[in-house]
Amino acid sequence: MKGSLWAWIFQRITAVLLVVLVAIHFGIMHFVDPTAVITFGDSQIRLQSALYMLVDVGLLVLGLYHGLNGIRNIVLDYWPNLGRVATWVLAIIGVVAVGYGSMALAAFVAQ
Amino acid sequence: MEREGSGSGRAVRSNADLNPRYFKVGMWSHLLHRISGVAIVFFLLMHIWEITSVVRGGAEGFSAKMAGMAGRIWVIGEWFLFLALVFHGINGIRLALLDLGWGVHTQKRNFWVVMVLSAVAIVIGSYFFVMRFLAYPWAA
Repeated sequence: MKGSLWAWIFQRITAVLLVVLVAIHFGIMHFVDPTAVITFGDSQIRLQSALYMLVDVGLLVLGLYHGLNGIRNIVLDYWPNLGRVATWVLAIIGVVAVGYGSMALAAFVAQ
Repeated sequence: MEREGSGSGRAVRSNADLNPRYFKVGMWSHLLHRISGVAIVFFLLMHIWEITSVVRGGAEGFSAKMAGMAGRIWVIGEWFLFLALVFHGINGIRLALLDLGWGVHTQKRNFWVVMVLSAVAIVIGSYFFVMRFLAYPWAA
């Protein structure tokens, strides 16, 4: 199967997963305690739980894939000749962002 | 690209595909989904930058950054993000189902269902945003 078919499939799969994950994330951050100011300590406690860490890692990876692939689709629609370049640029942005974001998540649970 | 019988009698020379004069509901849905999506991507990149402040400034740097965003201006920004997320998510569910074949013949109605559901979710969520808005000063 072609690579672009997998991109299409994963865009939908990440979409469904993100609806759930983003709802959880937004709910926890903004609705459970609406006036709270988040501190390092709060996040550290929360991320000790493997489930929360999984949610945040999921948000990072799936969110970046879905969003950057979405940008790729827009580029393909209006600037088809830039498709290959855009795919590489967006992929690099994605890898760097996932890497840097993972470093941050690790920093919360590092002893 | 010329279009006859447009009412004014004028030939349209621009690309009519992107001329709002000829947009119907489906095109607005497509546009809104894309615009909200792009906005969310820009937010996400900014969000990753602010969260990774823990890498650049340690625990103090992170907490200071969060405290610095405890202002009404930021709450307003978060509210717009909320709007984009709600619409993009609910409309996205409609689109994913459409790709599975459900709702092919009821797209217009389904879009309005999406708008109503989005409006309900936004009203409910806004209650929490108002609480937050009132609790914060304009600038942190």
